[in-house]
Amino acid sequence: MTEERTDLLLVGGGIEALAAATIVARAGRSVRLICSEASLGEIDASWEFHPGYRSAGLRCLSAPRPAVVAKLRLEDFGYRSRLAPGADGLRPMADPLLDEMAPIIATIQEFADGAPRELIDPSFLEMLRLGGTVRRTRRAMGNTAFADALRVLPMSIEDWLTERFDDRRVRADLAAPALFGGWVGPLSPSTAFLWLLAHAGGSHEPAGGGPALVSALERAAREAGVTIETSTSVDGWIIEQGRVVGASTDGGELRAKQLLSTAHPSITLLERLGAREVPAALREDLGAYRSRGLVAVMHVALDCLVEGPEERWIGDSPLDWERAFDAAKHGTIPERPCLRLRVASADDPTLAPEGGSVLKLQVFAVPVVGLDEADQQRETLEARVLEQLAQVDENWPGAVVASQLITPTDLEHDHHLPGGHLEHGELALDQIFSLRPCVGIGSYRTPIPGLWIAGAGTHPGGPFPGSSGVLAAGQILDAAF
Amino acid sequence: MATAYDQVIIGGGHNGLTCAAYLARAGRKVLVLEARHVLGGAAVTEEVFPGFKYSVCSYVVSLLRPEIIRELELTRHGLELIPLECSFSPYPDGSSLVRWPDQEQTRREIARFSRRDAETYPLFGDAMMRLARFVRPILEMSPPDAVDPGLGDLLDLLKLGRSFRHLDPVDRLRKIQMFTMSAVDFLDRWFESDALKAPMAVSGIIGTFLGVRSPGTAYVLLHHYMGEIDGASRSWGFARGGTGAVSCAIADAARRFGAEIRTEAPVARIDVRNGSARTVVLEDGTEISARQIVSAVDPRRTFFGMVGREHLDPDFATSIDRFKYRGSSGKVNLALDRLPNFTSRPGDGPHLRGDIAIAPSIDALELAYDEAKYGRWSSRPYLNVVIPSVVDPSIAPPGKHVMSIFVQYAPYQIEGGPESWPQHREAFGDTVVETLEEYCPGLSDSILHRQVLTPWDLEQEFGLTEGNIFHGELSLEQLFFLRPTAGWARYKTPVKDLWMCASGTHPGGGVMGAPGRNAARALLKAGG
Amino acid sequence: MPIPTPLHDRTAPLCTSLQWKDWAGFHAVCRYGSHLEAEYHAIRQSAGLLDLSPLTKIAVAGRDAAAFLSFVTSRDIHRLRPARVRYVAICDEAGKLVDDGTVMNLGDGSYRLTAASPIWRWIDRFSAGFDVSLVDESDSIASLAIQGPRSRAILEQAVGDEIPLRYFQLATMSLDGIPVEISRTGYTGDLGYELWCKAEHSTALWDRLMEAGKPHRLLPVGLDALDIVRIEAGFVLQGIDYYSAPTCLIESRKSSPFEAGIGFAVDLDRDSFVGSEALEREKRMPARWKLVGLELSLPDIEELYASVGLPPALPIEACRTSRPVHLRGRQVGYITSSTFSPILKSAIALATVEGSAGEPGTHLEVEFTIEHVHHQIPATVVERPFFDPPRKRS
Repeated sequence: MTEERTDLLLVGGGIEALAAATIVARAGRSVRLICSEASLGEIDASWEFHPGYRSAGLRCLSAPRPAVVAKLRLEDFGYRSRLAPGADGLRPMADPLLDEMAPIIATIQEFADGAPRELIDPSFLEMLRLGGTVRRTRRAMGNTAFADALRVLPMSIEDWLTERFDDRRVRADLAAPALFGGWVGPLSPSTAFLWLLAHAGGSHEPAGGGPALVSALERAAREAGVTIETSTSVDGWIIEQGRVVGASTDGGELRAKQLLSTAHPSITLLERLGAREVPAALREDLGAYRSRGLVAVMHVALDCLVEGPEERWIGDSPLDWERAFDAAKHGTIPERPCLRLRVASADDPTLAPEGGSVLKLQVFAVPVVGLDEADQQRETLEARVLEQLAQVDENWPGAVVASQLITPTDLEHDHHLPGGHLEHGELALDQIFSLRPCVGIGSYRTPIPGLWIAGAGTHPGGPFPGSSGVLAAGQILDAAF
Repeated sequence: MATAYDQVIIGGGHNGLTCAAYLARAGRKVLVLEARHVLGGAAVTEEVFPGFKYSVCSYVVSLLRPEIIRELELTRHGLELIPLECSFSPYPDGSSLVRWPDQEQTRREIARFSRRDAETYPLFGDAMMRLARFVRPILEMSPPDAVDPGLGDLLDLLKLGRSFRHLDPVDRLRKIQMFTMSAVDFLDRWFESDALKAPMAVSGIIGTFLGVRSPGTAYVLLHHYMGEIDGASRSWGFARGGTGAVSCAIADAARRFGAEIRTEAPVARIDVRNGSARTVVLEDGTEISARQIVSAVDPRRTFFGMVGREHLDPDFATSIDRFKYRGSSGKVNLALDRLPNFTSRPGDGPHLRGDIAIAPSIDALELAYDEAKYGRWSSRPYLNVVIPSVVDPSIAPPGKHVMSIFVQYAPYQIEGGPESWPQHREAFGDTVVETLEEYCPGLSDSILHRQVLTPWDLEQEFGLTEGNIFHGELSLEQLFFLRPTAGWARYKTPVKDLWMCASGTHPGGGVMGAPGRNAARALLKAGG
Repeated sequence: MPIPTPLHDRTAPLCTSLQWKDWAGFHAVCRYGSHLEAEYHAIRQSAGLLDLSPLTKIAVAGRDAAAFLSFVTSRDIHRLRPARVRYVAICDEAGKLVDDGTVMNLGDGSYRLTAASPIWRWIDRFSAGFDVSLVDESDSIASLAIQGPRSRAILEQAVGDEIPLRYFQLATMSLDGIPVEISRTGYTGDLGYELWCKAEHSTALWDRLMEAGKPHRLLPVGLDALDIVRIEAGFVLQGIDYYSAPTCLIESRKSSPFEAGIGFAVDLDRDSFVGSEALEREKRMPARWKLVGLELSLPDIEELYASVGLPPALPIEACRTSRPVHLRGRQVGYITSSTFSPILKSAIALATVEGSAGEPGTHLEVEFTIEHVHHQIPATVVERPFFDPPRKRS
């Protein structure tokens, strides 16, 4: 039974946890990080899914924000960024939209870079600040463009793109990034905002993807003196006199002055706390936090080298994507799943043996269903995905050595992601920034003293890896140490 | 030649008539030009089948502004509003839910589906009331200018902000969530039973091309709590004599104030001379001049149909291009030999005196929407049915009835193009009758006459572009200061002396009269 | 449209005045005959029989029943011994009143919570993590009250045995083979009992009580008479003297238990419960509002009548109209319930006034209208209850 008096116990092994641990440890605090998996990185880790073939993590990450890279000194630990592979010819088409909306995107990034700002009950000063932000954005855009931006934000991405692009395929490809965070199809209102949010992640990616970012963070954390214990699973939090004083794990009790959990908010606040410790209002608000996953990930090992663009979108028209969403909406798998296709081995050749390739596919859209049903759907879904791949290159299905499909149901059951959502919860206008996961979780604090929460399910939400961890660490240092 | 009129109003729909009445009341010389032989636009009663008066398009009145009723003395001009008594939802398994004005009775009904929901329902109503009470002033205001706000606009925005701040934080978040969440997601926070959520959610999508699971549909739930009849909150109702009675009462009021109204006087175009719109030209060539022209038809018909793109600033023209219509509904009007007999509640009864919602489940509603996205009408559409003759014997012979069925979804852009709708009209009508007959067998035997209006018909007959009943979708990007477009949301248009006064402006569609009144006031204030 | 209670077959034929009201969706008798005074005097002089079936009753059982009730009501239910009843307040997280009622410890590990309005969903919100079952028995349990100086005698005759129940004590007995819980509680401030039985037995119970009560002049009594006696007893009524917080459109309508005069029902020195934080804060500060008893100056009232040539003719009927209360010309509150008390021969009222104006003995002014003209008459703040006979507790 370990009973150290650690300053901060970090529960979680992913990017946010590592980032937070590093910042707090560098400030001279004793930090212990535990996670249930055997290695760090959670869904962004690389693993061997077939002998000789490794995956590149489940997500397609954007590069962390410059402030985050600087604060963590990531480049000292081997982190490099690179220009994200845009589908051929596609990026220039998006540029006019990005230029027009640049100040809005900049404002989104500003919000993501800063501590959570009170949006519901702002004090007078906070209101002035919000007003200032609005005014600045407006001035940068000009009145007419700003009014148009207000018009665009609640629109569907398809409607917005239809105003400029007649070609359905172009619209489908351009729209696709907007669809991988919410419970939406291209015809859903607010996807224009989600598109802007997706692009607020910038045009760069970590070289080597999620796994490389995880490695750099691990090095940084260890150098900062963080004690890392993997393969440690948590049963619940230890509460004494209304305060969280540690976690009870399969290896005994671990106590600390503060505890930061980067798990999904409902795990952190509902599963690991006794139900009586959670105020009824908070439980209701958390119950309203929507985490419906729609994206499955499939890694495909090919015994051939893949020519052509590193990133492709597979979906002929916006209605194809919408049909895929409709199918998942009703709990079924689409006839023609739409795909985000990445040649993962092009970014990291070590993922495959000589002459082989690894494809990373994000499959849209796949519902969360019961375990039995998920098993029944699995084969069909895999077959349909391969059919889609055959449309890209008829040789590919023959070259498949192995594949691994991880559905939202799998994410829910095997990866501690209630709802099966890769981002710990849907991205939506009312589940973003300080509204994420709900009102009452302000600035990473929970209503229970000693318990902090960070991760993809908190501010800011969106394509900003590491931001939540860094900002939460800042709040904890300010408040508790 | 001296101008004959102060204002000429194009379109004798209820908003055009309201605008005319207010202008005439202020002493202006006003002329209303209506293309059809009857007044009312989509708020019209017609004896399509002898002895039976159909509310052809719009079939209920809810948000008709009490100020308009008082100021135009509409009751004196024959307007009588009969409140809807209830909302009846039958289900395929033979159960049914009726929501009554009596809270306790409603609680007992809901309790048969869910005890928890039964007790939550009044609390939900209370919460919605708290939110709705700050929405009403928005209906009466001219939206602030978002593009070039002046001091007055900033004050308006401040007032809005203050009323938002009056809400406590819980309500504030709810208010925001109403604009971002889907109706279903919002209701899922409160209720567990599908039987209750389905008919409630469906109010969020009426007249829009969205599904109950589409983000942003929650705010329409407030409408149900904003309706007013005779000053009482939360009521919807019929007008005695059909919805046309509303328009007729307003027309009578307008005439009494001195307005002139001509029917069968279709306008071909608005003549823009020297950058100014002061002359309308009728289809028979007659030219009529006024100091201002006020259009009560939708923006596309106004600017492209009547003014002409060549007279418009290109950016403005683009923004009008972008103003979306997307009709999604149809209407079936029936003359019945007898009352329908619902298996879940047989016979006559108070449950037939309100509206009847065929919304069997949320999944069914969403499937209905899904089909429409791909160019088909819903094979099992959502239906909102009323039988106004049950409370208003004046519209049908004794013992016989008028049934009004609002149908969603029927997309304007059907496979084969909108002009192919007439070929499908009867099949569409059959779908509607079949769907309803699942709940009241014997319906088809009792039909004496059937009138089917597809989105195409709504466009051709009533001038509703793409069959959209609100002169333009009521989606967030086209509301308030964005209706019909930013910078031109205060009833003025960029064409000098041309104004707008109907549902294509704030606060949008429905039989409210508010756009007409707001426009008249704005015009008068501007020295019209 | 209201529905009948299980006792409707008995009460309806007796309600010759045809005066009913809707209580929680049920038909409830306002008064049986046209002469309200007879029903009032029955309660105070002999005994009255009331149908209280529309009350909400919730069965609370399970290992954590006491802990749950302690969490969701204002009292420490661990200290409620078996066969005892306690008056409780139910508050929201901000310490504002949602409802008031009673909790009975039925002795077998289970409890019954009673309240005026539906409360099941409210308390269910807080049940996560408690090993407790909550069953709404409102429709399956009927409730009768027998109140007045002869109530014990009548009950003993009906039961055929002594009823040694102390004030706020509870016992399970058998009446003609009908299992009945009898609690020595009531809303009249008098000697009295409330009986709880299965709905299907209620008419048999009624009959037995009426039979036993005949020689003692037992009378069925409606809600109008109850209103008078409960004001005499100083008891507040939800929806009249305070509003249930979740239904309030504006904050100023909400009341804490301290403000509504039932602060005595709040146990603060214990584990936190719903609203405890706010209540503790409030207790430390001077009271902003107080619910007080007012005694209006009858001599002044009589003088007013005399001044217009009328004999004093105060109606014997409770009044729920709000009337302003002033202190030296400034409005400091309002009356929520008032009545002329026949037994005290005085005009009494329950009023909500500013805390500083609520000390017993304070002289205030109340509006009184005679012949359509407003006057201000003196009223004094007095302790509640106005009427507190020794027999209530004996």
